[in-house]
Amino acid sequence: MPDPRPDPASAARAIGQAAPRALALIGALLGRQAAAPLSLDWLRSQIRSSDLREHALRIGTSTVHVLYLFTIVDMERLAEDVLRPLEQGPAQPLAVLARAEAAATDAQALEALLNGRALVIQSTADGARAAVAVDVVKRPARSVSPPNASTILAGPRNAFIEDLTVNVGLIRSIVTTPLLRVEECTLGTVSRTPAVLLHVEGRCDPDHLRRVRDALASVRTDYVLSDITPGSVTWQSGYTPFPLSLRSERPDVVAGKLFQGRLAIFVQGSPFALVVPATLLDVHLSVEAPLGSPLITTFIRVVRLAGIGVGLLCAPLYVALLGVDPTVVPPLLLTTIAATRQGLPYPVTLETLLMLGILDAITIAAEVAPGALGQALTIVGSLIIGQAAVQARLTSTLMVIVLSLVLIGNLLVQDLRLAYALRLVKYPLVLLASLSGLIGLAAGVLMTGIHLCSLKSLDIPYLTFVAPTDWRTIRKNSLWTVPRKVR
Amino acid sequence: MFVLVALASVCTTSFGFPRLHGDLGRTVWLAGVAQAATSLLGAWAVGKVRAAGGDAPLVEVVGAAWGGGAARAYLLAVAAYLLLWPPIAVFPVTVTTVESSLIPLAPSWQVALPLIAAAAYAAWFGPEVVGRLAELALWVIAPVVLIAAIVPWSIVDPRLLWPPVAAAPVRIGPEFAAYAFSLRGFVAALVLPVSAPRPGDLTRPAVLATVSAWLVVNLLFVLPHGIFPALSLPHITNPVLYAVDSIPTRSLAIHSLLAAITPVWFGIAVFSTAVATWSAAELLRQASGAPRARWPLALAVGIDLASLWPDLWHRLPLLAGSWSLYGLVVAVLAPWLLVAGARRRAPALAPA
Repeated sequence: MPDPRPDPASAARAIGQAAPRALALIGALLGRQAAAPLSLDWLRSQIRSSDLREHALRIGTSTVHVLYLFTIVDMERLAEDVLRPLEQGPAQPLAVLARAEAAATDAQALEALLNGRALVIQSTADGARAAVAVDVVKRPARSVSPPNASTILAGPRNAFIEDLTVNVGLIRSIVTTPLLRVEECTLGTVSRTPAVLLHVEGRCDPDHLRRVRDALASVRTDYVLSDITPGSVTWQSGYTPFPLSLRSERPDVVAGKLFQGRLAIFVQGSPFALVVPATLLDVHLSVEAPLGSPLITTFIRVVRLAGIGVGLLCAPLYVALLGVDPTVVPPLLLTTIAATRQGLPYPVTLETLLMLGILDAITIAAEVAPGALGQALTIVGSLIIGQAAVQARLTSTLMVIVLSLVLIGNLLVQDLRLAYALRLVKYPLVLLASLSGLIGLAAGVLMTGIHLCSLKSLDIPYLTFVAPTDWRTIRKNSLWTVPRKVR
Repeated sequence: MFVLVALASVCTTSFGFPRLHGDLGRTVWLAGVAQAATSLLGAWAVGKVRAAGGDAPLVEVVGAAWGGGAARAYLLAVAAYLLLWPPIAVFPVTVTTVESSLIPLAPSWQVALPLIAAAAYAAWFGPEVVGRLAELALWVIAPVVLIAAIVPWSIVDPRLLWPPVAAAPVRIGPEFAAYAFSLRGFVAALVLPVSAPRPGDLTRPAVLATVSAWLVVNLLFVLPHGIFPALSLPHITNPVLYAVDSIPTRSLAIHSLLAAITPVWFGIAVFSTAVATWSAAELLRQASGAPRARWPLALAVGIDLASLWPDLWHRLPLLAGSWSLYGLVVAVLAPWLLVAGARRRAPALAPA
């Protein structure tokens, strides 16, 4: 039987014949760049991890080193696109060339390694070294799936994932204009997390673009693990709980904002895009179902806006009217309410603060608890605690109704950051209402309004659309925008 | 700017001239017309001054016409007028409005202190933020004003208000002068420190806002005074509101509703105080040459807080009449002198 093992002599001949082609490949990949003195020892000392693999191939008078991190590299592609061409000559040189770029310095070589590229380092007899980085990355990622942060009733059901390339691809599939610009950057001085900035040229404000670029370049944190960090470090002021950017996992929403002249930031590892500038209405009203009819859309928007008011003012109004200014309430209604509160051991303010605190605790717990446990918590909170507290005369039935309205108001706010901001603002309003009744509540609401009016996302006032009033946008997006007849 | 000036104008309408209706009766509309004329005159002059100066600070504009020292003195005079306006007119009127509703009586400072706090917070950010807040609040205030204007008419028993005759005018006294000439000087003074990037930018909104406010005020308050007899109106605030005391119980809900919207008037008072505080601080800053308005703002807030002292609280409103005439001089007549002076001394600054 013939020996299945290759004849060493013939193998050497094959390598010898392939060597010029392999070296020619490397030469083509490098182009005319001068060889920089890359240090293999330095690269090895920087990584020092067990998942670093190295192959040394002798090709002619050169030694070719192939370095890669096997945990983030597609081994099949590595063998097909790197090792086999080096050993046998490139079968598909163009395919390899498309995924390769030169790494001229140690820092570039290190970054390429850490981003899932295979480093092919050629060392010549005179000690010169040159390197190319071939993209064979394979990061663990889930497939495109429906969004988790919102329920889609009508509209596209795909959402961003943690892979930057896939996310940009989702945007490209919607925004097919050649004017879409994708600018790469890295964030985090230690983590070196890849990020991209997207905008449509000619649509976005050049000043906004410049400011966002400067802001991203000024991120000085050690590590960036999600899209929140760029926003919190740069344009999100620490003095306001209200979000100054739109955070979305829906490609259709982000694409729409890009066409409106906004900028989108994607960070590797985050399934959300950060869109700036964003007003309060962008944050709150960006995800309503595109049901077509302006009447229905307006109705949904009005209900959701009213939800903010109800969620925010219900509890403080309860304290103001029952605790401080009961004479404002019509006598018949006041008598009914007084009967429900008979026997309660503490004043209205304390009852309200206590129950609001319990409600927020249950809501936050339900948000972080896994599926079934979250449902159980909801049942516990609504049926057991609410009903039991009323029967034990620790709270009134009216308070339970108020809490229900507050919860409904909170749930109508889809942006989690905005929902938490409104929950936070509720407590000072309750305290002001307890001090001065309706007047104190009015002062608190005004101060909240002043704070909102003072906010700007980049240089766009946060309440643009109502303050300053943008009648053109109102007209284009509201009840009386009726589609023209098709001729 | 339009919304802000309109709201400020509505707030500064006097609610507290109990003898005015008794004096003028059905011809109380004269006071309204005089108010409008004063307002338009002042707004027109201020608009001309700002249009001539462009985006130059007011102290330079006035200095070009009257000289540096006189300019600073004038700015200080207007600032003093604006600084004392909230304690003299706004706070007492707001407290009276709140006390006349179903909201339980409370110490005056319990109403004034939140007002001062909210106004100071708004003034800190300047007129741009206050203007935006005014636009935002208009979505709430406009329906409330409509409710306050229309709802009482829907439930009033006209038999109690008939016959619709009023006493003949007795005299045009000091109350008339104070009501007619007072508050519009405030409106004009508000516009003075604000620079105009383009000529005519401020004249039109200031004039339109003043006319709109005059219309609202006269429809809501002056017109009823002119229709109903004095004997059926024990209080001057809102004759229809007080007439509903005698109507069926179901209207108590309306009473509650009207009382519940009292905070809206409180909100209007906050706008008025905020913009007056900022304007006064800006005028003081320009007059003193300070780079920032921090200390003038602190001074303004300090004066507002000091006015809560019981002795001052009861005495300051007595100055309303004379302070109104002071405002007429500094904010309505003086700008016309400025315009004339500008033409004579600095033709380049003369309005087109």
